[in-house]
Amino acid sequence: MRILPGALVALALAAPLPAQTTLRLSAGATQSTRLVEDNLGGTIELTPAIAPTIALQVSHPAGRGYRVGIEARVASSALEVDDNGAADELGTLRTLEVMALLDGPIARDVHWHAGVGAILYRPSEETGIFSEGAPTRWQVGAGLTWSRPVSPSLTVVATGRYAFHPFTTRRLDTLNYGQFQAVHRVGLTLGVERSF
Amino acid sequence: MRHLGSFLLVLGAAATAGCSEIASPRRAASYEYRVFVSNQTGGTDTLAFHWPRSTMPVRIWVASDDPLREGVLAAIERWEGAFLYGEWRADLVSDSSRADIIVRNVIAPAGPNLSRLESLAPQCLGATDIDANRAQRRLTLPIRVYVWPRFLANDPEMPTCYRLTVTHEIGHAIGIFAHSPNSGDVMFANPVLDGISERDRLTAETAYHLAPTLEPFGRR
Repeated sequence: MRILPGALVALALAAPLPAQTTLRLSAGATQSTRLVEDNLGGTIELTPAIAPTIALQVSHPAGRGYRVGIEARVASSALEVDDNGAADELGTLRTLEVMALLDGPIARDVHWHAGVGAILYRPSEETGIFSEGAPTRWQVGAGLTWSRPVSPSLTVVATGRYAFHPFTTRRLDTLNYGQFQAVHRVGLTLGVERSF
Repeated sequence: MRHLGSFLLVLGAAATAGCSEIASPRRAASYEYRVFVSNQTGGTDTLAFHWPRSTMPVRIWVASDDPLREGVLAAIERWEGAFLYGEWRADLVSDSSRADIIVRNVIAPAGPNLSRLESLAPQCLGATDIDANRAQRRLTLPIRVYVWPRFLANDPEMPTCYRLTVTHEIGHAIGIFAHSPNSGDVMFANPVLDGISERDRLTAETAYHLAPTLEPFGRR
């Protein structure tokens, strides 16, 4: 998170180039639904806490108002367990989402976007459900972006994103847990976009 | 907007899949982990214990030059690995006066009013002393674990014996008070397994998800 102010300054001072590639740097928060719900005499839920998030996106015009881009998002928060009413934290859970995105206009300042990609889980401790390794899962997502130019080459951008992926781990597979847990993630970010 | 419609269709399909819940497996039979003792009224008291989440991580002390230290580290890793949701976690501490579990490489001393759980591996012996007050539903800390050589301390098999016996005794200390009837489990009374079995794992899991009859008391 400490690199954010410096990166914002660098983004604002960078010299514009003739092409229309844009670079967007955002920060915000991500909320995830539970990763596992188990029943062992009572209900156990494993859920990431609301995670501070940083996103970096590069996009390029694709014609007729559309843009294509690549985005990387890093989120990090405590992994919380609710064990039949008893709360506990199991270290830190970091996620890296990498998505290919398509962006199109809805209104003058509002765009939709949608994409596919992957989410990588990186827990601080490879124990429990992560004891046989942390998973990488495919992910789809979509959302809305509101943008407002503040200078000829700099735009303020607010983004809301919903994403979905199926979650399981090798350890859960080994122990014969079936199917997967549908994980829904909602992220809100605010950032700046620089056109080049 | 045509592309948006297509994608929303795909997203809708994903959201339909999004109702999926992970399915818990059918769990194989575990063995009895509780101890049943007669009380003064002619009835039976059940001794069942697990460390509450508020006590995590459990603090274990073993001397830095103790030959059991490697076995204690192995036991912590093994029993922590038995749980999926961090139900039991432990750290070594350097101050024995703050420990919840004290491990020593000496013959278990005689002690009044203690529940002693023992193990009989081929080269070494183990005992775990638990100070349980059934009337007050208290288990007074610390739990004391002793592991010592049966014959010669320099037996080449001693490191293995120490490791599996400490794993067995720490198994008692985490709440598996009874012995497994199966020789393939580390909690068998005469343990030979250098590790923990799936039955051991399921028994520990069960112990941590059923109500205890004892609560830890006197934690420093």
